[in-house]
Amino acid sequence: MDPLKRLIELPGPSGDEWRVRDFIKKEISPHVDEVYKDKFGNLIAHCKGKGAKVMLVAHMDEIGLMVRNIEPTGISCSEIGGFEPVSLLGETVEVEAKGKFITGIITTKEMANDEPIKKAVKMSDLIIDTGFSKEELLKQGVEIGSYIHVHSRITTLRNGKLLVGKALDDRIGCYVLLEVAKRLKKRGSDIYYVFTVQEEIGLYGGETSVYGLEPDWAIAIDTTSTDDFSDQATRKIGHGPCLTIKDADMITNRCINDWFKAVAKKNNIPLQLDISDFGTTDALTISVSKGGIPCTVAGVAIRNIHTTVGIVSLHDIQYLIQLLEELLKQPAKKCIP
Amino acid sequence: MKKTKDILQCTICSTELKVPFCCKKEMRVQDSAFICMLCNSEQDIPICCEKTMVVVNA
Repeated sequence: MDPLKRLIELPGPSGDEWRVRDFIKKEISPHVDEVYKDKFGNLIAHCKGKGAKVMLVAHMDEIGLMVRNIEPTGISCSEIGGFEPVSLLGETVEVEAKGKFITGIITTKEMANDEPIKKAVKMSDLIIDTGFSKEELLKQGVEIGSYIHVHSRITTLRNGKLLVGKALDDRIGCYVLLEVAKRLKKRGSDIYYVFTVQEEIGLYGGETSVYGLEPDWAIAIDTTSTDDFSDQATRKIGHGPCLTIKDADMITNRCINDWFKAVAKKNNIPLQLDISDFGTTDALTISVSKGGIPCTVAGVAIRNIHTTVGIVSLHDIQYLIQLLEELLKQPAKKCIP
Repeated sequence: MKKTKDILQCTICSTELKVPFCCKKEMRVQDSAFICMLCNSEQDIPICCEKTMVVVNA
């Protein structure tokens, strides 16, 4: 199966990324010199080479749900990361129960009783109906803290040019790193491909990984939200990869950004410049670690980000892979701001 | 991408407040109080409708 679709299908909420890590390890191993897992759970693949030590980062975890309590009416849940609650209504989920999975449907008291929903749905309103009683759920091994996985349903739009699915944030980044590693094999650059854990709940994996690697500079490959349903859109689906200049919490490194822009121009790759006031990435914690690591963010824009029906352009992904390949096919220079 | 806009919300009347800032960063809830991850200063979580407000993603 296509590695991108496989990556999107795999469940991997923050703290439970092992399935994604195992898949990436198998896929990337033939293309790098060494692969290992650090103490925090990040997967690090190193392609030895010359020049500046470059770190490419993507996070393996996705937003998810966890059992908060098992109540007589069903399972209440706590969000891992930032789901939009209304987007979860009617979704099918799998609740972990001692290695098995119990299927459930996300509903609310109003929806279950066919009453009008008068207020905005909050996470605390959601109930998972498994058809089992509280006692039956406990007996089968569901407990407080069990992970709840939202069903994957990959589809395409616009004659296959747009992909729809869950966990696009940031399995797309993981896929981009895999493809770049394949293309840059034995090209001479010294690159660490770092697949981090627990980004969605606090940017933790990126922060801890830097201490063992001490890169000269880094690029976080992550997704950003589109704004193409507004009048003055700057992040449109299908208009090329995005280079973040500023997000909610950081200003990215100008030196790396200038290289990016120059490479895009030289190779006629469309590039969108991203200024956003909402959300941030592993680049934030990386950039303020170990005395400061020059860092930027590149990625693709996604519609319905942080829902189970994200939409991404496959062309944007391919352009991003090409851009990174062109940027890193020669041993990298040091980045001096 | 990690969602960043947290708000304080009353579970009874849905009143919303901004999460307090310290050292130019949003404070985090720890041990029933807001704590600054940079300078460790603490601040009480506001009460509304006689209940402690909760932090939710806006």
